[in-house]
Amino acid sequence: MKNKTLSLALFALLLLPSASWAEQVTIAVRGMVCSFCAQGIKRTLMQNENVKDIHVDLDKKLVRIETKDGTTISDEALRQAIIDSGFDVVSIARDNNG
Amino acid sequence: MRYMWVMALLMSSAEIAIATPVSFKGGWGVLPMYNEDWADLQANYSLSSHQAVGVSDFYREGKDSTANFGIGQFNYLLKRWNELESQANIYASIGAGGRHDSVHGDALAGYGSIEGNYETRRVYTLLAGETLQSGQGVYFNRLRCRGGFSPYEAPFEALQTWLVLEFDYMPEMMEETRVTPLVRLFYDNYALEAGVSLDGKPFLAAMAHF
Ligand SMILES: [Cu+2]
Repeated sequence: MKNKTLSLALFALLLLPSASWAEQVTIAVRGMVCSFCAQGIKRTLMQNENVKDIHVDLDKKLVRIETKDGTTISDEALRQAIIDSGFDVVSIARDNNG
Repeated sequence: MRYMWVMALLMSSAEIAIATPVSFKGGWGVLPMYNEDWADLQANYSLSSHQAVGVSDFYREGKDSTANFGIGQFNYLLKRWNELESQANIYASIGAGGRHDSVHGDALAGYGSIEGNYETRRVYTLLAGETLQSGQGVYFNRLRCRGGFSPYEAPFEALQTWLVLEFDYMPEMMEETRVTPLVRLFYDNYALEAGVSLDGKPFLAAMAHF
């Protein structure tokens, strides 16, 4: 009985990383020099239901996004969101923490 | 009449935005501006990052009458230069509507403007020309030039402060160019501007994007 509980617990632990699978996306943005105008990026990306969190770094001109667990957002959707906000995309980098 | 602007500014303080002529796709902007002998109020909606539709009210104290223009307008981003450390824009607007003048009464009115700006994280410049035209030869032209700087680079979430010098030339209203030092504050989706011109006229403006 104890063994069974233990193995179940181990199994659950193994499952844990994949269950909390979220993606960190870093977008390098061109033209993002003004905090007031860059609000448009936050507002536009927040409309995407897979976005969990957004961090805008004006120093490095980066927009970092964390997706909701088990979801992803295509390059195309990200690119379109940045363009709709009035800026240009330099690059998109992904980091799957899982 | 002019106090209506102050009221509007105060009442909407929770929701106003110092909006640019075009913001982001699906974005709303509100821009009230008040300067004792003139006032502008515009609300706009951006169809894309290049096109917006808006309604404006312009109040102008002329040399022998005061006029109010109600204008429906189309704003267009003609050109944008997105660079790593700067952004530059050219906007044009055209509009049509009506005018009420204290002496000449009601007439049809037209509006046109062109605006260019350049900004980095520390420098801000703007050059804008505007014309309001209406029947019975009632018209108001305006040339506006701004230069400013930010004493520090604020992170995205923090308050950004700008110190700006505005030059306003409105030949139908004043003999000389009005010079106004003002403070411009950005926080979240709100912007607020306040200053007093060298000839003692208070200036207040706000912008909000939402
Ligand atoms: Cu801006």
